Amino acid sequence: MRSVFSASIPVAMGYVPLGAIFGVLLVQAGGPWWLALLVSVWVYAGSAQYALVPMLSAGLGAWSVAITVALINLRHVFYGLSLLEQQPEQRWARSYLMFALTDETYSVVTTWPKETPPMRIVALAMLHQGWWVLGTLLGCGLATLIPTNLQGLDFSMAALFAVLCVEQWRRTHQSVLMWAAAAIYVGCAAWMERQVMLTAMVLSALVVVAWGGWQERNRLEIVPRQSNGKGRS
Amino acid sequence: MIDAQQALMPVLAAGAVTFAIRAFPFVMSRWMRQRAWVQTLAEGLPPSLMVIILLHSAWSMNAGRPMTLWVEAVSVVLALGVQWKFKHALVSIVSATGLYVLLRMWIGM
Repeated sequence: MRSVFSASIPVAMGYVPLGAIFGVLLVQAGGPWWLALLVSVWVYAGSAQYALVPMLSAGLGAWSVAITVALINLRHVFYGLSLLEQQPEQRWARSYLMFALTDETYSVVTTWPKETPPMRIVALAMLHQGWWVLGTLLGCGLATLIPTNLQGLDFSMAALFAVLCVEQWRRTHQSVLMWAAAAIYVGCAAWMERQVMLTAMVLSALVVVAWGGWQERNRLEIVPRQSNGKGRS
Repeated sequence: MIDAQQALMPVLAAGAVTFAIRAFPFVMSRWMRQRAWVQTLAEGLPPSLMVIILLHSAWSMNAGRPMTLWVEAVSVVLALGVQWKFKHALVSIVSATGLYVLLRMWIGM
């Protein structure tokens, strides 16, 4: 168990401050501390939790929030595919592992050998969520200590998203899709008064699928040309 | 201002949909492997969504003050630049937020 704890420390270094930022933002947006705790225990999804703050502030309904969160977390769909052979036997543990499969937990677990006992993975996932919840509670406490006349501190959320944008670009190099998303959002903000973010996300999803299809067609066209060229030479 | 009572249903929905997405591959593993567009979305959507969320959060902060949109723009550019150069999330967030607070205080919010 000590080694599982050690394995969770690098993630804790990110989870505690980021969880704290979430707690500060939600409490400063007017939410009670228990709501921040509920979100970190029940939702437990970094980017989606940050996106929840402006959505809850704007009073969006359950459907709008659910669709937006689904779009943000769509990448999680693939995480389980790598762990199909490492599922715990106990139903509660299996369900918890599905629930707690965040980017970071997935990243750590996939570096472990395939023979790793499933309950060790579950223990790591629990520790990770523990760090996140601890950070959230610390943030709720800090929120009351930060002077209210220092308005603008909630810009840290926009700054965090800027950080995540850079890291997304480093990971994917999807410049075209990122610029397209920016253009779509600006267009939606210029033309619409409500549901700007959700509309922009749906349109971006369509662009992503179209872009992927276009790239796939190009790849298929290039392959026969190359093979024909080889045949003639 | 968040209304805790009104926020409960959206929060419960957010948790339910997050769990459903994470559990989906365990339930539908065979079907998932056969759909190319799901793979395409999983790869291309996160960076697109992050840009939209960034722009939306910056735009929301500026609500009602279009003449001072440059404050949000400059602060976002600083966060992007610092993260690009130093790869340190905390430094990027603190420096950009600090600049934003100072600029807002300077121009009188």
